[in-house]
Amino acid sequence: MNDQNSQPKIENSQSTPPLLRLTDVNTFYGPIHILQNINLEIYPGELVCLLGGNASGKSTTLKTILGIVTPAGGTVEFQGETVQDQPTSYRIEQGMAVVPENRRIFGDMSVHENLLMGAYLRTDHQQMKQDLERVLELFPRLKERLKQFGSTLSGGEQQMLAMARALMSRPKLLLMDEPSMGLAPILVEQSFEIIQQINREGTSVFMVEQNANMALSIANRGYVLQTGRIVLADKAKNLLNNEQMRHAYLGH
Amino acid sequence: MNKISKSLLVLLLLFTLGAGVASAAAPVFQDGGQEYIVQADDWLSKLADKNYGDVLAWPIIWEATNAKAAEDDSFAVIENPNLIEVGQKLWIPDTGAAEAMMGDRESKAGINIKIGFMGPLTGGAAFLGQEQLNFAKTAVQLFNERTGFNVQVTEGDTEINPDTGKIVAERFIADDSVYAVVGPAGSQVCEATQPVFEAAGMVQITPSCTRISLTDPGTATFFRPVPHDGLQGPTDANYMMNVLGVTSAYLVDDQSSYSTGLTDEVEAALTAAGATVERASVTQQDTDFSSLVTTIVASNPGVVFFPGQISSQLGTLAAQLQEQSYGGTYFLADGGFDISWVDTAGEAAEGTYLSFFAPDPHFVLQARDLTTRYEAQYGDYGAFGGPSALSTNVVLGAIERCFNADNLTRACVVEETAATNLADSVLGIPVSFGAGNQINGGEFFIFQVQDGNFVLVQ
Amino acid sequence: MDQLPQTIINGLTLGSVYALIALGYSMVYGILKLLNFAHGDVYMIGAYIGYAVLVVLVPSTGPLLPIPIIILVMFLFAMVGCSILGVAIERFAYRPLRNAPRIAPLISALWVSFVLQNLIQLTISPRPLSYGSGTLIPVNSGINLGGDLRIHTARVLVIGTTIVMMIALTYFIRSTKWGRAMRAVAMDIDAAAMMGVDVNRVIVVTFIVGSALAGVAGVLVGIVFFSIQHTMGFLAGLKGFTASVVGGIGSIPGAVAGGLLIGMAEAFASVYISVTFKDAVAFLVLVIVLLIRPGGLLGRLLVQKV
Ligand SMILES: Nc1ncnc2c1ncn2[C@@H]1O[C@H](COP(=O)(O)OP(=O)(O)OP(=O)(O)O)[C@@H](O)[C@H]1O
Ligand SMILES: [Mg+2]
Repeated sequence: MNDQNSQPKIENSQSTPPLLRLTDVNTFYGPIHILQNINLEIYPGELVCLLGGNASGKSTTLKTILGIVTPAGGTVEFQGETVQDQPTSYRIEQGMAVVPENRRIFGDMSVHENLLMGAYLRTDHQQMKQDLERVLELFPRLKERLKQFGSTLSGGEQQMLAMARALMSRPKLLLMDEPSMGLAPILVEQSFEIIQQINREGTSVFMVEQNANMALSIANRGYVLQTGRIVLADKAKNLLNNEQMRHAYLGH
Repeated sequence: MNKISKSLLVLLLLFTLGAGVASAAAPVFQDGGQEYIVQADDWLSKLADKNYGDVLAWPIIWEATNAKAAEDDSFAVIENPNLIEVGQKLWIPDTGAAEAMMGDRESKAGINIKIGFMGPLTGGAAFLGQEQLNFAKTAVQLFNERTGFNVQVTEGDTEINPDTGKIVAERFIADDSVYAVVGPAGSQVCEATQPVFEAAGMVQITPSCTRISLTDPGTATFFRPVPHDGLQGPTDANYMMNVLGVTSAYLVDDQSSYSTGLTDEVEAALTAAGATVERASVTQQDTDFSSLVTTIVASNPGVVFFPGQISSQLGTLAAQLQEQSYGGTYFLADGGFDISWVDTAGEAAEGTYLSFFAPDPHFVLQARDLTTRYEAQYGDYGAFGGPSALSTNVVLGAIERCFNADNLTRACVVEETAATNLADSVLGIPVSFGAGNQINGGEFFIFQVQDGNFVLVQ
Repeated sequence: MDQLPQTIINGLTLGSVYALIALGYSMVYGILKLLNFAHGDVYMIGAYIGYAVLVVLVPSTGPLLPIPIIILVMFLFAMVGCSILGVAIERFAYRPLRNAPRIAPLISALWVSFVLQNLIQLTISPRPLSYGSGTLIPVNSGINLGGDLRIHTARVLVIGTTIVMMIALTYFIRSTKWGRAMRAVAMDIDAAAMMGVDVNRVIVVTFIVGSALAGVAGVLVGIVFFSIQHTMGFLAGLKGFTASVVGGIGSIPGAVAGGLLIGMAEAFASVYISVTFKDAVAFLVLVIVLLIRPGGLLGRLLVQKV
C-alpha cells in the first residue's frame, strides 16, 4: 500500500503542460502523516473535483497547494514553476485564488471591502473596476448589500461573497473547498451553474466536494481521496459509473 | 538564626582572626634618606627614576613625604601625587629604605582585603546606587595608590528591597576577606540589615540612611557619618517659619521611608509652631504632578515642601508649579542637593530653598582629587557620592590602623571605626562618632538656588 | 479658583500620551494576539532619541534651528528609530516564537524590556535626563482661556499632535490598502494570507506604526513633563496596556477612548480624591469597565476560534 505506484494514473490526453502538478506530495501535521504520496495535475481550462469522506485530507490538499502548510516531501508546480517553498502570497500573485472551507469572509469589513481584499495584489485599478461590475452582475444579491458588514450576510450570501471575492483576483486556477456546504438545494444548483460558467469563461477550477454526484456532473475529471491517498482518478463520467465509487460515495 | 549557622559564623570569625594575624605585618620604618626641594619640571615619577632607576617607585616618595609631614610641617603634604609644586620640601628615602618600603607595599598588595558595597544598582534608584558605588571605588583606588594596599570593592545590589539587602549582607559576611561594608541606601534596608551585621560583628557604614532610629539606640557595628532627619526636619521648619515667615505649608512625600520620616518631622515642627499644614503622597515612579499642582494652587500655601530624591521629580514639580502660576516658595530637602534637577526646572528653579548636611562635592577643595578622578572615569555626579566616599575612607582608615597594629580582624575594624577622629574629610567636615555611632555635629545647611547655583544662605 | 478646567487639561494631556501608547499595544494584540510588554520600553527609547536630537540641535549656545523644526526633527528621528527597534524586536524576539506556547513570547518580551532598560542604564546613564522646562517652549507661553486659566503651549502640542496622529492613523487603517490588510490579518490571519496578503510584512508594518506612535509619545512626555529616565517605560507601558484593555484590546478607537478615560480618571482622582490614589483609581476604572463590559468599551469579547 505504501507503494506510490498504487496510485491510479489517468492517461494524459492533453498536449499542453499542466497548470498545476503535485508530485509525490507528503504532508504532516506534527507527527501525523496526512497526505501520502499525492500525485495530481490540472490542465488549463479543466474543472477537476476532489472527492472523499470526512478527514480524508481534502482541505489539507488545498492548503498544501496554497502553501498554508508546507509538504515534507514532493513538489508542487504551478505553471511549470516549483512553488512549494514560496509563500502563499506569491502563489496568489501567480494566479491562484481560493474559496476556503467555511467561507472565511471578513466579518468586520463591508462587502465592498471584502471584494477589494480579493483583488489585494492587483494594481490595475481600471480593470479592477470592470471586474467588480462583472462579479456583481454574477451575484446581484451582493450588489444590494455592498455597504453591509460581511458578518451580517446570510450563510448563502456569504458563500456567494467568498466566491465573488476569489474571482476578484482574476485567477487562472480557482480552488474551492466545499462551495455547496450549508446551502439549500436550490442554491447549490445555482452556485454549481455559476462555477460552470466561470469555468467556461476560461478559469481552471479545482473543487473539493462531498456532494459527489453534483460535482462529477459538472467536472471533467475527478480524484478520490481516502485517508490521505488517492485511490481513484478518472474522467468524471467514468467515476459516476464506477462500481466502487457508487457504493462508497454516490449513495446508490 | 539557627544553631548551625551560628556555629558556622563563630568558625568564620575564628578563621578571619587567624588569617588576619597570619597576614598582618608591621609597617617598615627606616629613617635613611634626604630632603629635596621641588624644582621646575619635577614629577614624582621622574624623581623616582633618578633616585631608584624605577619610574614605578614614585609612591615611595609620596608616602615617605606625607609620613614626614605628619611629624614635621616644613615637609609638604601631597594630596595629589600628580601635582607637586616648585619649592615644596620632599623626603626621598635612600635605596635601602626605599627597597624595604617597596617590599612592604608588595606584601600589602598581596593581602586579600575587601570592602563590601551594597546599594540599589538597578531600577529607578540605580543612579544613586551607582554613584555611591563608583565614589566608593574611586576612594579605594586613591587609598590603594597612596598606601600600596590592594583593597577590592565587592558589590551587591539591594534593589532597595529589605529582603534582598539581607541576602547581600549574608553574602558579604560569608566572605572572610570582607572587613567592612559601605551601604545601603534606603532606611528600610538599613533597618533590615543592621541586626545581620551586628550578629556578625562587622562594620556597616551608611552614606544615606537618615531615619533617626537607626542610631538611636543604634548598634555597635552600625555607623552613620551623615546627620539624621531629627536635625533636618526642625532646621527646615524653623527656616520656613522664622526666616521665610510662612504660616501655611503643603508637604509632599514620595512614600519612601526617608521621605515620609522627614515629612513627619517637618509637619510636627510646623504644627507645633501653629502653621496650617496640608499633606499629600506621590510615588517615586510619578512623572507628572500637574494634578497635584492644581490642588496646591487652589489652597495657595506659603511653601511647598518636597523631600524627594529623584532629581527629575524635583525639577518637574518646580516647573509645573510655575506653569500653573504658584506664587509661594518651593522647598526641598537633602535630596535636592543635586544640580541636575535645576537643569530640568530651568528658570522655575530660581529661588528654591533646600537643606543639606554637607557641601556639594563640586565645590569642596578637599574632594578635588576624588572628584577629578571620578569625573575622568565615570563622568558627572550629584550629591550622593560624597558621603559614600567619606564612609569608605572612614573604614579604610580603620582597616589600615588595624593592619598597622598587627590585628586585621573585623572586631578591630569595628573598634577602630568607632575611634575615628578626622579633622577634615572629603566633605570638608570633621568626622568622629558619638552615641549610637552617629556622627558628632553634622549640621544642616540651607541653600537657595540663585542663577542656577546652590548658594549657602544659612 | 475652580479646579475643573485645569483638571480636564491635565487629564487630556495624560490621556493623550496613554492613548498613543495604548494604540501600539492594541494594534499588535489585534494582529498577533500578543501582549508586547516591551512596548513601554520602545516609548522610553523614543524619549531618549528625542533627547539626543535635542542635545545636538540645542547646544548651550542656543537652538540651531527654529524651534518647530527642532521638534519635528525630534519626532522624525524618534519615529524612525523606534520603528527600526520595533521591527528588530518583532524579528528576533517574537517571530521565532510565533508557534510556541503563548507564554514564550511574553517571557521574551520581558527579556527585551530588561535588556533595553539596562542598555540605557549602562550606556547612557542611570540618572534621569532633562529635556528642560523652557528649553524648547517658554515656560510662560500658552493660550489664555480667561481668568487665571492658561493652557501651556507644550500641552497644546501634546493634545494637538495626538489628534493629528489619530486622524492619520484612522485614515491609514480605514482607507489604505495596508490598513485594510492589517484589519484582514487581525480578523483572520489565514484568510488574509489566502487573499495574497504577505502576513509577515503586515506584522512588520504594524510594529512600525505602533512603535512610531510610541516614539512620538516618548518625545511628547519629555517636552511636557521635562525629564526622562530609563525606567519610565514600565509604568507608562502598564497604563497604556490598561488603557487598551479598557477600550477593548484590538480596537483602534477603543485604545484612544481607553487612554483618555484612564488619563481623566487619574487627573480627577488626584484633584478630587487624593493624589495618592490616582494609580489605584486608574486600575479601578479597568476593573469596573471589565465588569460591565468584559470586552472593553469598544471591543468585543474575543471568542476563541475552534
Ligand atoms: N491544523 C491541524 N493540526 C493537526 N491535525 C489537523 C490539522 N488540520 C487538519 N488536521 C487533521 O488532518 C486530517 C485531514 O484533515 P482535512 O481538513 O484535510 O480533512 P478533510 O478531508 O477536508 O475533511 P472534511 O470533509 O471534514 O472537511 C484530519 O484527521 C484532521 O484532524
Ligand atoms: Mg475539509
